[in-house]
Amino acid sequence: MAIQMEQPRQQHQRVPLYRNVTFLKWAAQIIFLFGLIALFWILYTQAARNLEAKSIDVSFDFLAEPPGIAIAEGVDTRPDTGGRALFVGIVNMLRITVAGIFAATILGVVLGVARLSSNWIVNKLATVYIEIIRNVPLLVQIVFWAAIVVALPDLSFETGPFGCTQGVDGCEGWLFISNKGVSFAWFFPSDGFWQWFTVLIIGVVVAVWVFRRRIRLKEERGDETYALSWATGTFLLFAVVGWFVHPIMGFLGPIWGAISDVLDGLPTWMVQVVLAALAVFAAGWWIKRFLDDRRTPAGLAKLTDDDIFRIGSVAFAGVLGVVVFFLFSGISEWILESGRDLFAVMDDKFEFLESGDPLRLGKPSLAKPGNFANYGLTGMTVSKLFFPVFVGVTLYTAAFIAEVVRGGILAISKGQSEAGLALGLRRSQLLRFIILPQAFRIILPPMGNQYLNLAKNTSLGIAVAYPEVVAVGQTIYNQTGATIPVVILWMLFYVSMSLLISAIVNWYNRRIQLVER
Amino acid sequence: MEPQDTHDELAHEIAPETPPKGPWVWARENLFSTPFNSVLTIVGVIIVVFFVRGMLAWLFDPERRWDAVLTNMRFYMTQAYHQSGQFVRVWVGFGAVVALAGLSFGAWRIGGRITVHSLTRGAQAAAGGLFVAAMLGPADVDVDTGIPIIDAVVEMVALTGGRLWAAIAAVVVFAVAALVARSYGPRAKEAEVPILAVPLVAIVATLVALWVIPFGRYVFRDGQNLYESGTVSTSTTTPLTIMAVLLVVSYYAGRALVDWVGQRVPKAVLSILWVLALPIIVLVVLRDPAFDFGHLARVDLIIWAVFVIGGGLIITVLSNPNLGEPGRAVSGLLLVVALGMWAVPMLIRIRLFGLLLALFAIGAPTFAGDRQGRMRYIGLWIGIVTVLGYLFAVVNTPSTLEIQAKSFLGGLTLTFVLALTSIFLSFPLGLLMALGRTSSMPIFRVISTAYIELVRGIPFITVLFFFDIILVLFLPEGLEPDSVTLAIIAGTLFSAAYLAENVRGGLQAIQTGQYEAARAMGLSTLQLTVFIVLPQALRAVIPALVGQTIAIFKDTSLVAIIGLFDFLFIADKVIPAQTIFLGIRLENLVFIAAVYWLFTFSFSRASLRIERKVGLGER
Repeated sequence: MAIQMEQPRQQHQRVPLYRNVTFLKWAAQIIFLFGLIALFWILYTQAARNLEAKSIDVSFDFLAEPPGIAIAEGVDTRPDTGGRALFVGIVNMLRITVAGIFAATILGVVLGVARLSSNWIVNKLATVYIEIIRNVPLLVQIVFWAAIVVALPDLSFETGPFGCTQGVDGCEGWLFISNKGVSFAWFFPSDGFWQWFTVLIIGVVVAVWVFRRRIRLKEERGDETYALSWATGTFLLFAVVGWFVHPIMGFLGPIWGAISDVLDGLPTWMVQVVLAALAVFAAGWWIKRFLDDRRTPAGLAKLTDDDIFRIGSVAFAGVLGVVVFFLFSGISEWILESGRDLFAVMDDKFEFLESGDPLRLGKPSLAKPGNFANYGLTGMTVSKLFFPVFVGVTLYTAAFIAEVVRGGILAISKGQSEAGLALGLRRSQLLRFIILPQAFRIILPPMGNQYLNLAKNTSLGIAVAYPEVVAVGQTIYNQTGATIPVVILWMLFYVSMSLLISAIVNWYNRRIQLVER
Repeated sequence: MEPQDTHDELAHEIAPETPPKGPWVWARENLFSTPFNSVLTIVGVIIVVFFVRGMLAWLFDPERRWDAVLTNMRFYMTQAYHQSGQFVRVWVGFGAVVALAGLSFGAWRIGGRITVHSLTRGAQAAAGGLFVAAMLGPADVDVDTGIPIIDAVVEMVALTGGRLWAAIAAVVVFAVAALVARSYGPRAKEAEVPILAVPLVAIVATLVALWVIPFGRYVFRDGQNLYESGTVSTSTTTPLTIMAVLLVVSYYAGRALVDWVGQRVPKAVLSILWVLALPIIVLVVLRDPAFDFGHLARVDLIIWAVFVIGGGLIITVLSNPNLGEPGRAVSGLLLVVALGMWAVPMLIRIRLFGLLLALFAIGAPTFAGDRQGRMRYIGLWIGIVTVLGYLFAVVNTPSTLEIQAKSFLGGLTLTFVLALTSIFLSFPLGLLMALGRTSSMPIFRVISTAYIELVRGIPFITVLFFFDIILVLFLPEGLEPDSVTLAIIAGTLFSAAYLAENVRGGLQAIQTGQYEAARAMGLSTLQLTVFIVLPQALRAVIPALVGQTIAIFKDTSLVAIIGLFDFLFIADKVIPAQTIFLGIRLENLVFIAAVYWLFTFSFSRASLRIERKVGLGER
């Protein structure tokens, strides 16, 4: 044994460079990187030549210029700049995403549980739904729903299902289902809404505090304290009392106004300094945490090439942030202006101390057949553009969520159910206290993936002319020819949204994971 | 067989047999076990009745224009291709696929045996479903007694017309199945018939129905699609019959072949044929290139011969294990030369082959251990050069087809070509990026990760738009790929990112012990990856890969948005614009949804079978 141990040391010679693994690996990587850069450089020069020859606009000027387009629906149907038009598209896209996530989650969880039901017919119904929906392309489904809406009857005084009665603004009804979409009565924020909303936020904070307190009591005493009912009651109390006393929140108005004034007076360089400091701090914090992770009781572990590369990249990113914030003062100016405008708007909303009801019921009313009255509160309309995309992505995602939920529940070991039943829990209690809390941890990451897919799938709205960000972008570049900037903006938007959603899911996931020993 | 039977009987004697449950016991256990379950059951039944009635009423409504689908069937399958007057090429291509499928089914001996018991039970269940459907179908009679529920029940029970025939058929099938089951008696649970009898009977029944029953036919005359009574036209029935016969004959041929020469060779040859079938059918059979044989001999053949012979010699020499350092130096020199060739103007094919040759030379000492390994390595080189050279030659040859369309591909054919080509091409790319992302080399890892996350973060439609409108701006003058090529590139690059993530899952499932054992045996990184890691990783991710294939198949429908004439585009835009079928959209969409569903569903079922067969998920 000892002899064999000696031998390698004798044979150990200096490894020639061309046989040195570290050198070869780095050489291969650097050559590859240069090849990639060269490829991009060739493409870039070629593109520059082509663009000049065809005189195609690649500037982002269209963001500040009148786009010359109208948008079918959204917060602003006649945007005055290209940037504003894209913003309207983003809002439209988020409307479907948020509504779809809610609806698909509820439907998906119900279907997932139904898929495991011991009731034969419920089980089969859920199975048939899932197998049909997820095996047909989403685009086909969206186009199908659009065709269904088009086939609905025209909007008229007889359009149902409940008909309408003559009112102030025209013929008012509770529900109209027509080829213009689905219109129904809805509560709209009115004069005192924001004051009331502030009371509601306070109510939520207090309700959370009450909930925690009741839970603590329950843990101390061991008997049921009805924490959820208490919290709900607290919130409702705030909502009801707030409905009557909300005008007193009007005092916030001058405060928002003062903040807006302060922001108005701030010089740009101050924001730049703060942002740069934040970038440096974030990078430093990351590096510190990274090094802390590598610290063992015996001192700092040896850093690999890879670790040094990571630290270097983060440090570089921090420095890059500083440079960018100082070079492009526009970013800081934009932040400053947006903040100022936001508080100014909030000042406006809180202006009056006396006011009417926070919410008001608006019923859809027909001025004449085919047209809703375009003044007053005329109900909520799920338009013929919104409907197919919303229904399509919701039903489609729900099928996938159902499979995720089913997988999560099945992954809980049988012993858990048996132990719960042995303790004398009822089936519903078993599901609520034993199975679902554990299954939730398993299904969260894939659920986040499904939400991400839903958000990306809203882009198919372009096939039925729903004006979300891709469709608006396409209209803009058809108008201005700015294809490259629009595509870059698309990618930036979607990538940052994906990163945001996955960051939220990851953060939440880390929080709820069991600490394993 | 005999001893087994007695063994089974013995087992029956020992194990207490569960008494057969009547339908009432079954219903009580599965539908009405608790009050809550009973409520759910009633709600469920109402939903089923409501939906099935609505659906059947819609499907069989006389106002439905199903002729819009039937008349345009050729359009659906191949778009403008039938204008070329060479529609027989489509059948030849389809026939090749059918023959290959039959041979493969035979060679792999697809299909086991099924007990008479489950066969008759299945037939009875189907008959029951048909009977319920007949009951719920749209009624011809309109009863008005003043009480809606009684009306509905009377209408449901009063079977007339087509519903009556369906009900009679259901009863007959049920009775025949019951008779068969009775004639076998208690042996029905053990007696077996080949499962392939089921599809065989179905095929024969369909063929007989096509030739005999007067479904009616559509003819194109005087610029109009006319409906005529009579049986389906022979231009449809004849090729379909040939296909069916081909399938059956090739199945038995495949079985006979395996019995005769053994499993190894036919399976290998069939696998290679499957890979080659797609480009050959698409580029040669369907595209009908007009070969210029003089040019072929002067250019293509010479380049091919030079690289096959010269490259083969170089690889033969370099794969000699005793060569040592000089061999590596030569490989490195070859790589430098190959990279330099990209700066000198010459045929892109020569540059590509040069680069490939350099890579093969570098890999030679790794893969060519013994004599057999060397032969296989050189064979691989010759095969790749041959296939690529052939593809270059075919693609560069102009087509002789004359059709009024942007591309000779369209309809369902285009959908399949897009899906299969994308998944096939994205596989190596995804594999490389998965390795890059799990690699210990930071630059490779950062590039792979950035690419994967970028592509997975954006929707497919933006990628399609990017390639459709922007890629042209980055290419040199005169190089303008057609939309189908661009869509294939987009699909490939898009699905590569998802494939990479799937493969990464498999790579991470491999235990460290495998790496350590391989290192201890002295394998190099390349050998470790190719011989140890990838075979295990790929086996573990088969289900994910099939899922990705299905996803790509569904995603191809997005090319309709950029105006390619795929299956969806024809249903949504083309047929509703025809003068006689103006605005007929729902019927078409329902039809294509059914077709998409059929393919994805059967594919996912097949994947479940494969999963069970390779024993995944069972440890």
